[in-house]
Amino acid sequence: MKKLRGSVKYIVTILICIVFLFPIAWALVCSVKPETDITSYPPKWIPDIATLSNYTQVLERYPYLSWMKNSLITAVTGTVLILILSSLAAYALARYRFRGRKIIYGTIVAMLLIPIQAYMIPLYLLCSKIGLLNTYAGIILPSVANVTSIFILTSFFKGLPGELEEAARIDGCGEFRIFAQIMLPLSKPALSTVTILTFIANWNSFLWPMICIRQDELKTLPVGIAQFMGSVNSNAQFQYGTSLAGCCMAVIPTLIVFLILQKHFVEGIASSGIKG
Amino acid sequence: MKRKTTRILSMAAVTALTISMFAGCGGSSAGSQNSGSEGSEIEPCTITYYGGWTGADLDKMQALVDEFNESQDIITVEFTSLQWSEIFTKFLADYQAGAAPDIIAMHTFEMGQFVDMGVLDAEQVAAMDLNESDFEKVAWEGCKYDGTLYGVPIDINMHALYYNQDMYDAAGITNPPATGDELIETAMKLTIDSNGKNATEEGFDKNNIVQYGFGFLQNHHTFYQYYSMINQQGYNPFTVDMESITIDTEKSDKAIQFIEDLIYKYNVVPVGEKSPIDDFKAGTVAMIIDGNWQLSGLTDVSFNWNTAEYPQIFDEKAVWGAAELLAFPLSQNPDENKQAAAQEFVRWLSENSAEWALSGQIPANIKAQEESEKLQGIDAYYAEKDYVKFLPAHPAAVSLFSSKAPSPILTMAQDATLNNKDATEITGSLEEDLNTVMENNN
Amino acid sequence: MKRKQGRIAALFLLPYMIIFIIFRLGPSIAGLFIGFMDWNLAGIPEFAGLDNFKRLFTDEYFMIALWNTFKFFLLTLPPLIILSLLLAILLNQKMRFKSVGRVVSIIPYVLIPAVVGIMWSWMYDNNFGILNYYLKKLGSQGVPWLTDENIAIISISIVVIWTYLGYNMVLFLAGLQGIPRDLYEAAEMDGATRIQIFFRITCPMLKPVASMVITLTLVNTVQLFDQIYTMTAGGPGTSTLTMVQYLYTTAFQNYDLGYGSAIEVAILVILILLIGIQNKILKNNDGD
Repeated sequence: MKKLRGSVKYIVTILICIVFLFPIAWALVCSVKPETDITSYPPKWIPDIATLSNYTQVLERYPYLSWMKNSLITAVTGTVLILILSSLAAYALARYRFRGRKIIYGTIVAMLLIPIQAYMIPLYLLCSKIGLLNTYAGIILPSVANVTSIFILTSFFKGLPGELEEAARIDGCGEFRIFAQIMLPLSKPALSTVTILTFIANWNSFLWPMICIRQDELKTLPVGIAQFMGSVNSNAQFQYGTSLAGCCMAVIPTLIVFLILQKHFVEGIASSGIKG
Repeated sequence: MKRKTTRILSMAAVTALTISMFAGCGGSSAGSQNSGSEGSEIEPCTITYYGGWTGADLDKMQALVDEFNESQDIITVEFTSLQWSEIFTKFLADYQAGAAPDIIAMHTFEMGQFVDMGVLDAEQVAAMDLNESDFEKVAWEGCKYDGTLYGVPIDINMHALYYNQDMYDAAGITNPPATGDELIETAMKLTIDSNGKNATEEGFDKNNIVQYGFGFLQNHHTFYQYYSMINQQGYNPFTVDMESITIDTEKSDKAIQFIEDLIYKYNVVPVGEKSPIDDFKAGTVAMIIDGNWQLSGLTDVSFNWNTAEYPQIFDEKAVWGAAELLAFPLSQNPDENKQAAAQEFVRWLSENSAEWALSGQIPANIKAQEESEKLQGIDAYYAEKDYVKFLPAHPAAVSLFSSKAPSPILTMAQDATLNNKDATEITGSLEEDLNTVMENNN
Repeated sequence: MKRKQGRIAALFLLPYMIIFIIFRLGPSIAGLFIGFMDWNLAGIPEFAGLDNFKRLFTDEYFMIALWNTFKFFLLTLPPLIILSLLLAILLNQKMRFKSVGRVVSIIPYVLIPAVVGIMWSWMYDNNFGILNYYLKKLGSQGVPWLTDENIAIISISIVVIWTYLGYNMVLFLAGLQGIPRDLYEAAEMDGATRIQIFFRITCPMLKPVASMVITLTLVNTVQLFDQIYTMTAGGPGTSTLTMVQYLYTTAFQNYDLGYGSAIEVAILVILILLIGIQNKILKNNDGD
């Protein structure tokens, strides 16, 4: 009986894993089929001919590598800036007493519930006025006004013991040194959480980059790939093979990064959840 | 104290932001002077040109621009191309920022909105002193709004019928369908189930179809076909200056019913077909309705194919079409030299658009038409240009005829092709949706 | 001391606050003003009073979008709570490979949503999709996943659930692990059955997590755009048109910035109202 229950658990877990991996696996399989085989019936899990022609087509027909470069630059720069600015600000909000602290923190946290969709028109007009459309800065800066990171880091800093700080102050350490050399090293878990969460958010971001960038070579991956599906233009020829190849190439880097850092990611979600 | 400062500071920042956004939006409509550059030499300059082509079209247009740049060393054209809706947003944003391009490409039906916004310069078109007889009449008329010419027509796009000759031969069909009844009959003969039976035979299994006789884009292009079919009944309620619309239910229903019957009564069209041209190339669909822009992509398929004029389903011949045109955005600080250069380039492009025909386009310039190499299958399209019907350049055309939801015509198309709704009901909601859009636009 | 702290704090805060005010707080407030304008992207803004806001109430498309958003919420919330909880309970058992299960179930969450949309629409394809192939093989008819106006919203909800299930599972897992052991032990001593323990101890203790999941689902539903953009673009007809999709079309295809801003303000108000209601209900429950 117990053994049976045990094996049911395993079977259910395996089934669940299949459900989660199925679309990705199927996309991968189809992306190496020639275009005529993709729409052949019945669908085959093992392609008759495996070819990378869809991949080479994506690379030839679209500035795919530029998109990837743009995604990398904007996601990495954005994440680094968020780490620096948010940890500074969160530290001040958590460890110093000053007037207006509560209001500032309250305003920031209130914005947690306001998605970019609710202010993208003014943001668009602003970026248009100050010349940030079609620039990396136009994608990066709005993402740096990140609120989740402030939320996570402030509650983390609040939980750190005060003795270290006091001791360092008595030793005559400057405030910035206390922050950079004592507090930051202690905050690695929270910082890695913020790193992963914001990196994924930046990497996956779609609507704002689509609005901000109107230049093919400056697009980020999600925006570039989405246009494969665009029937906006009647002349666009829609091809599943190439679009699936484009999808797979975009997904694989995320998967690798995620698998390396998955531990922090799980902890990150969990910790942000409990405190929320 | 601190608290107050923070508050004041943040308020000031917001105010500044708001003001900065409002400033500089005004006074942007300074009219351009008639360049009158007759005989005057153009100084070396760089002009910008926006277009909405992708894929093979883009390559051809880029090649033309490069050719122009190499043909002389005074004018340099910088060409930017994105998808149409993207390039228009870019255009308007740049226009706002005072950096509008010198030339913008668009379709005839999209022109109305831009004229209404006041961003196009008709005087520059007038200054080109074009000869009406050099152009295909329908395209020329399509570039007019309120009697004024706002752009230079470049090419004409239309729907026509593509058919797989090998499949015709296998089914013993000799001629492509010319009427609605013939279309149904031919399509049924070409719709084959897994037992090899076609749709006209006893025992045909409509749940196991392996080859469809007919296919078409089940999106806004279905509305274009509907547009063809109401025009075939001598009826077109869509006008440039309509403020509201009343659609003749009888005529509209007939068109919708015809489309629905193809899919649901005769089972000759795959429900929810996404990419007819791919199905056609893959050999799963024998005939499709699609545009001339597909011609260049069919040069290397492994079967024999041809095109035929859009079938005459009702009383007279008519087919949906659109022209592409080049227009000059109104400049905030007109530079006569640049304007002259832009006009020079547009003239050159119009006269040298024979090469443009290699991507399946029909040049609007008659001389270029004659010079152009005829792609396989283009003849049917040439035959159609005498009775092609454009959508009106209504100021709200972009919302009325939008290809993205929410869109009256997309809802109409999908109600018919995907949901097989009652034709009268579809006509009613189409009329209502169109009127709502026009009401909101006022 | 406090003054000195204030100065240092200001220095630490300044860089972030500048960006925050310019790129987030400012635009959020400025949207309110633009909502009062008649403004197309190329033109000069003109004061339009309450016209844009009035139009919201008579605009059929907006009402459809609002209703669709609500439907998405209702369709995704129950599975996102129940299935995530069950998954968390399963993966909280003592078994090998449970960490594999945890990792795999979060993978959908980290993928680019726009890309996820393309992958799923390939599986959903009426004629070539693998889902319909299996269904037909099992003897049933194919399902018009994305092309039927009643089914499309369900198909997209499935994708949304697939995406967030693992994420919510982790939240529940953390909640489960946060329940003190001795509560269970005490209950077992009292002879409570497993089911009683689940409903009397586990469920009440997980209430904060459930509340968080509700808020997250709410915010995610209101923001829903990327997957829909690549799967149905709001169609068939307007059956999967969401508020953000409508906003995007209004502002960046029809260039009506004033009305677009009014939609933004509406989205904001609806979010705040709903979250307020939700908090109130949960608080009242706590008071019982």
